[in-house]
Amino acid sequence: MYQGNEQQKQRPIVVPGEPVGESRFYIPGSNTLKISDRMFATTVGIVRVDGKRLDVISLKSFYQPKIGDLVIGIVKEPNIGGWTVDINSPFLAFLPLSEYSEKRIRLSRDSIGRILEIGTVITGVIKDVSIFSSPVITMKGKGLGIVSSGTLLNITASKVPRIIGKKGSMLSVIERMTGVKLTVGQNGRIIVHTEDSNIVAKIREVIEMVERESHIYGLTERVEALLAGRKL
Amino acid sequence: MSEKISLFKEDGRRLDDRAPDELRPIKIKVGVLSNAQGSAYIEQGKNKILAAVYGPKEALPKHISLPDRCILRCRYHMAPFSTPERKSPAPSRREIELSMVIRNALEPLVMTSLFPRTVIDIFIEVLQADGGTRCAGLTAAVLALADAGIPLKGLTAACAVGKADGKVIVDLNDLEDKYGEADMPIAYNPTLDGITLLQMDGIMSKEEIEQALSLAITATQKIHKMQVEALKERFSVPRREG
Repeated sequence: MYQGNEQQKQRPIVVPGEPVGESRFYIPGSNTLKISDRMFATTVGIVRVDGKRLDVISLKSFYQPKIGDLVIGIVKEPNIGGWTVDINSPFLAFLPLSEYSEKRIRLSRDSIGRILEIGTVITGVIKDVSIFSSPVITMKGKGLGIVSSGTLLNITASKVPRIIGKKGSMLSVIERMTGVKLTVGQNGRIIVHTEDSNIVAKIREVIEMVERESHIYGLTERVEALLAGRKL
Repeated sequence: MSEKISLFKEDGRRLDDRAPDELRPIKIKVGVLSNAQGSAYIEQGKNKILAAVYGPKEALPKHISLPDRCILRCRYHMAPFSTPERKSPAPSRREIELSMVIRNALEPLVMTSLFPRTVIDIFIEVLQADGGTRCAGLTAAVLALADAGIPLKGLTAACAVGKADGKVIVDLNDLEDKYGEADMPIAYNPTLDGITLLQMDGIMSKEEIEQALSLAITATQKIHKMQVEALKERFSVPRREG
């Protein structure tokens, strides 16, 4: 059972069904299940207590779309009035034609399949989420649009906050030490804005390390050491 | 006419030298397949079973999707080389039934309402069979679901209990299953304190069933502990996948 701050430093792993606390002390947060007075974990993860709220941060999870999230999608197929976009989630997103660009599109001149081809990588923002229909994304906005160059990497969605770090600290360390800009989508896709295979391999190693060891204390130091090529 | 086979030795132990309430040696490994989203492998005695999970993903064809929850699809399959004589790889009546039974046992466990309009595929492949494959397959499938990151209401463990030569026994092997008097597979979830699978084949008295139930719950609690250990090992040890 979860006892308090002392164990938070060690980041113990909990598994589904493991008791994590009692509801008279904590408010059940994400990935928790309340049965009478007791709270149980529902995924493999680490316990995080923020004030009275107790969450289980999943070590492996799926991206659940939220309004305002920056996502990196891959166009899956043209549809009536838009495109179906794979956003690395159990749900396929829909990009309506009206959310494609500020410019006016005349369908009489262009077919939908030619404007955005299957397999095109795009950056967008989740505009609408509903339990009854697919999440809607928009490409209207600063920095959004078609990605024409770079390398696409993946990370499990629950580790995205770790790769960004507190106030972007981890991301700035990676960018500073490799000299390459990264775009991190909340859906666990990362665009490395270079095609230099050595740098991409190095960043891939960093991502693997974050996925593997994010629950072990001192991750930023280990990532810095890895990028500097020294052993810790 | 079938010949009467004694399933106990003179010293009161079973033919594989186990006590009546003893489980077969169990080895569990989680995350054995790199292409599946979640996977697990279990060896329980001579049983060797792989389980793999894909999803949640968009349910296709769309008309099968449910607006308020995800669908579980389960396939229990015995490999042609899993039995002493070659088994046809086509799904048999028994395999179709067991797929349904396992799916029904897993459904109360999975938090299906979190992923409406989607589907989760569970594959259980029996590589070597020696009795009690549905229980071992279920134990492995639960771990594969947890490995895939699917939210679960606890871990369910399964074990068969039964009766042979008038004694209630735990974790029946193939011989005890075939020549014993009764076989009762049970899946138990310690978190919900509930049974999600209970089948029975054979004849037992009320007292024997009560004794078998309590033995099954003790046995599944032991398997549950092994599940927890295997899952923690998978995520705590830095791993290098091939």
